[in-house]
Formats: sequence, C-alpha cells, structure tokens
Amino acid sequence: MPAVVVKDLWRSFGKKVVLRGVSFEVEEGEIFGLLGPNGAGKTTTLRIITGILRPHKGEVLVYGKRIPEEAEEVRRLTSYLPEESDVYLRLTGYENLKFFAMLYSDDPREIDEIVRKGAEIADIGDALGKPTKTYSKGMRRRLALARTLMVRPRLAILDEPTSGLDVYSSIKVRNIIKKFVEETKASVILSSHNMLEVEYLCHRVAFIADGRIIEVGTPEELKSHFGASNLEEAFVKAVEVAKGAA
Amino acid sequence: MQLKAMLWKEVKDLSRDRKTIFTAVFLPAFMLPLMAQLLVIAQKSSPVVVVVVNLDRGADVPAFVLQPLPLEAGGVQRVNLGLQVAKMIEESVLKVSPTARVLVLNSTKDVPYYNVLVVIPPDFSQKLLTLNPERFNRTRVEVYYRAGPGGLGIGATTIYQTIVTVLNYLSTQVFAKQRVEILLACCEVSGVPPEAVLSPIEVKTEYVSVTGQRISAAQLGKMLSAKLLLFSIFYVTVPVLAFVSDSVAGEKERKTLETLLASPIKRRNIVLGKFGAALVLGLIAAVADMAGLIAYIQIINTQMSVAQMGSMAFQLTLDPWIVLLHGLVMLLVIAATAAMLMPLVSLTDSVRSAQSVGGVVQMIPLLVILYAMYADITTVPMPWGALVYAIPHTYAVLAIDQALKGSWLGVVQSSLTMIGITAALIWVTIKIFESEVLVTSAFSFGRRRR
Repeated sequence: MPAVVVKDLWRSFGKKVVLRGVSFEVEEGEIFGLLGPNGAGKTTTLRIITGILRPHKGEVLVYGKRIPEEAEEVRRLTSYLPEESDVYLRLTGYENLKFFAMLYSDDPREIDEIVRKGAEIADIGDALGKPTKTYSKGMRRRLALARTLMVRPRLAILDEPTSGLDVYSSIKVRNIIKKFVEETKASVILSSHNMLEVEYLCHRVAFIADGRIIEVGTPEELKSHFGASNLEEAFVKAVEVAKGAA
Repeated sequence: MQLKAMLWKEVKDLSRDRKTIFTAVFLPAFMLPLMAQLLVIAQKSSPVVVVVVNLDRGADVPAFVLQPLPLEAGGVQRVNLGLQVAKMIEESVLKVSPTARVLVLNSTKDVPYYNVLVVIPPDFSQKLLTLNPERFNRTRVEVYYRAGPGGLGIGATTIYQTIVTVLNYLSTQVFAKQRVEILLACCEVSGVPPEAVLSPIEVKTEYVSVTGQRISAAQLGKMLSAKLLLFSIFYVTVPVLAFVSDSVAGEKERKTLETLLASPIKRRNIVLGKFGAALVLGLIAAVADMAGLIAYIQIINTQMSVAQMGSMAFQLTLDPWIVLLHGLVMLLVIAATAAMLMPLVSLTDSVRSAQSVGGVVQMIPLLVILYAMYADITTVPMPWGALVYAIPHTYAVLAIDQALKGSWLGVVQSSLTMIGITAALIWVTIKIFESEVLVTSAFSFGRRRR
C-alpha cells in the first residue's frame, strides 16, 4: 500500500485556482520531493495532506485513511514542518520538545523518551536548556525539525526545511532527514525549490508548476529524460514542454 | 492531557513574558494609587485661592438697635458688617478645604491671582443696617469664579458654592429674617414665624437607595465609588489584549500554529489552553486591581479634603464586599474580553493587525461605562438596547448595580449571563479553529496567504 495517494486534487482561493488536478503517490520509506517555483502549489498540496486545508475536488489517502474525513487519525501518523516555521521563543529548547511530545503521548516515560530522541536529533548540546530566543536561525530550524521527527511519524511532511539557512546549517538539516529515513523507514514528502537538496535527498521527484504535476521520476530518470546535466535544467525543460503542450 | 499540555505551554510562555506580566500587575496595582497621589499633589501644590475684597465703609449703629450679627454691647458703635462676612467666608472655606488660601483685602488694587473673588461693596453695612421699615435697601456682593485650568477644578467649584451658600444664608436667614420681624412688628402681627413669610415652602431633601430606603451621604458615596470602579475595565483588559494578540496571531505569524494544527491535538484544546492562560493573567490583574483600589481609596480618603472631592457624598468608601465583588467582576470582564478578542484575532494574520482589532474591542466597554455613569443601563431604548445587551461588559455594570440594590440573585444572574456570552464566544473561536479560515485568514486585514 502506498504511504500517500493524491488523486486529481483541485483547490482555489477566491477566483484564483491554485491546484489543477494534482496527482502523485508516495511509497513507504521513500523521500518524495515536490519541486517547483514559488506559487506553484507546493505548500497548498502539503497543507491539504496534513488536513489543514480541504480540497475542493480530488482524493487524498494517507496510509489508507481519507483526508479530510479521517484527518484526526492521519495526524497521529504524520508530522508537519511548515515553511519558515519557528519555535516558541520564550520556552527553552527542551520545553519546546516536551510540549510537542506531550501532544503525542500521555505516558511520562514515553514523553521523556521522545524528548531524548528530539535532543539527539537537534544536537544542540547545553543550549537545549536555554530559551530559544538566544539560538541562531540554524539552531532553531534544527530544533523545529527535531520536534517534527522525534515523534517517529510514519509520514513526515517537510516544507522547505532548509529555507533561509546557511550552507553549514543546510547540510546538517539534510543529514538529519537522511538519517531519520534510514533509521525509521518512514516516508517523507519534501517540498523545495532547492534542486541540489532534492537531488541529494529524494528517491523520487515531482515537478510542479502552475498547480499541475508536470513530471514524476527519480532524479536520474528526469535528467536523462530531458537530456539535462542537473535537475535545474531538467525542471526548466519540463516547464517548457508543459507550456508547449498546453 | 492535550489540554494540560497546551495550558502548560501557554502559562510557561506567559510567565516569561515580563512585559505582559508587568503590565498586568503595574497598571491596576499602581496606576490608581498613582492617580490618587497625583490628585493629592495637585491639591497641595496649587491650592484654591479665595480673595475677599471688603470695600465696606461701615455704619454707626446705636447699641439698642436689633443687630443682625452679634456685636459688643454699649453706646453707638461703628459697625463693619463686611469684615464679619469676610471672616465667616474664610472660616467656611477653610472648613471644607484646609489647604485653601483666603486673602482679605480692603482695596481692588493689586488683587492677586484668584480662583474665587468676592467683592463686598462700600455701602454694605449702611444698606443692611438701615432698618427703617419704609425704606429698606438692597446691597450687592459680587462673586467671581475664574474658569480655566485652576478654576474648573472640583475643589474651586465646591469653594465657590460654599461662599454662595454662606451669602445666601446671611441674606435669607439673617438679614431678611430681621426685616420680616420688623415688618411683622409694624403690622402688630404676633405668632407668625418669619420663616413662614420668607419661605412658605419648606424643602426637605434626603438620599434614598434604589429600593427607596433612606441612605446616608456615606452610603451614597459607596454607590458612586462602585460606579467609579468600573473604569478599571480599561486598564485590566490591556494586558489581555497583548497576550491574546501574541498567543493567537503571534502563533500564526511565527508559523507555529500550523505545526499545532497538523498535530494530534484537538482544536478545541488549543483554544481552551490559550483561554485558560488568559484567565490566569486575568486573575493576576484582578488581584492587582483590588490592591490598587484599596490603596486608591485610602489615599483619597486620608489625604484629600472634602472640597477636593466635591462633597461628603462623593467620599469613597472602602467596603470589603464591593472590593471583592469588583475583583470577581473584573476577572469575568477579562475573561469576556479575551473571549471577544479570540475569534477576531484568529482571523487576522499578524500581531499588528490583531492589536488594531483589539484596540477597537477595548473601546467597546467605554460606551457601556459612559452610559452607566449618566443613566440606568436597563433604560437603553431599542435597538440600541439589543446592541448594549450583546456586550458582555454590560453585565459587569449590571452585576455591580444589582449588588448595590442588595439583589445577590441579580448579581449571580448577571455574572452567569456574562459567563454564557463568554462561553458562546469561545465556542465561535473553536469553530474558527476547526475551519480552514484560521489559516487562509479570508477575513483578515492583511493579504490572503496560500
């Protein structure tokens, strides 16, 4: 059974149509990249999968559970890191992790275990006991990522996880994601417009532009299909082909 | 557990929000006593100045003539009634305002700055002491009240009224009475009290409570105090506005809200957790408010003269039940304000927008309080009445009114209504949190987000 099935997803805001029949599937244990420019519909797609937004048309299944009807069950299986999502600045790193652990478990021992895992993922040492307003942007992002992954979701939804980070912080974040999938065999949907990041992390990639999925495949398949030397070039060609076909 | 987690997070966050905690404690606990202290300082640093210019030349009066004011016995005396009236004015003024300055001059030259000026004319004694029943004279005393920053104060007004009262008393109860007695004697009428001629209508005044029972000036003061305390609604709700704006719109702005919405926590627990923390803040503000009120009333009553407060009827009364009720009502007001803010703030997409909306919400109680200061809130005509009764703060006014009437059932009813409206608003907030409008901010002032 695929981890995620998205079929013919439509969504508009007022008169503006943002999603025009988006369809794709994500396999278990797979890192699936959603690649596209700003305004392509990536965040809207992810918000629908998390149950935050409702689709106007189409079907979304997460581990066989339908969105939005079974959104509550889906939320127990998933964890979401929104784009540029911050942490609670007046709480310490430890308290940030504890709060989210408490949302996923009632058992104090399990909460401690989740927090311990979160601390390990964030890897920020003694700073964990300090208020997060003293953290650098990179530390805050790692803490936010740890908060998302520590609960061992079966599906992690990461929207632009390295957005606004410097090279070193971005590398650390990518390594955390890779290690998480290797250890847990969970699925990840990762949205990005960073082609390098997608190529490094993702098993398969969907190009999305103007609310449509225009191509899906492994990074190698896409590069080979469009005769491109990198994903960026492949993406540009895919968009041109899509425009020509339209 | 989820609600407990949410409350734990919110209270932890609140406890480290020093500005909000400081505002919640400082505004109610220190602003009122500071205001009282400022009034005291104002009274002491700029006392009311009364100048009495006595131009009276006096008059020679034989001792056997019936004197309107007590004089020394013996022979013909040179009497200056103007001096005696000036002395009476001075005594009366200092009785109601010990800090007032009273200057008695005998010339209009070099009159210093005054708040109230009294000019007694040169023929004052002459005209008053002409006791020929065929040729009584009138004399005119001029009283000037200076309008302006100093003259419009409650103290100056009270002193002005005191002086006018003294002069009216002398005119009607002393000199007029003397003349009536002379006229009655001329007519050979006996057994007629002069008052029956002077004021055939006797006016008796009493303060009565809303239930019709006679009440003292002190009790009236208690009622006025209770109404005055409603102004606390303004500042006790300030920190709640800051907290709710940051707690809801701040989460949206920092994008932590979406993480919460995608977690297993039920949306109602998010709302109830945030509301619970607002109540904790409200409790802090309400306790600080009670302490501030006690200090305010103590300062006013111990350091300010009656004149500065207006009259005995305006003296504030420290009634433990009123203070306790006030604290409870303020807690309910804070809860209601938070509940009014939450659905509106949920629809904004930034803390700045939320605070703008909050500013508007905070002005709503002003309408209710102003109306309540002038009239009975239950008399608001329709359709305004419907609007007023939809505002939870109206029930705060009603609860205090009911307490003054001694109707504790009415207090409970008003409080329960306020709790009911608060609950309804929280329900609306939960519905907003359960809908995607929360994220799309379709009705916000800001741009729509994807």
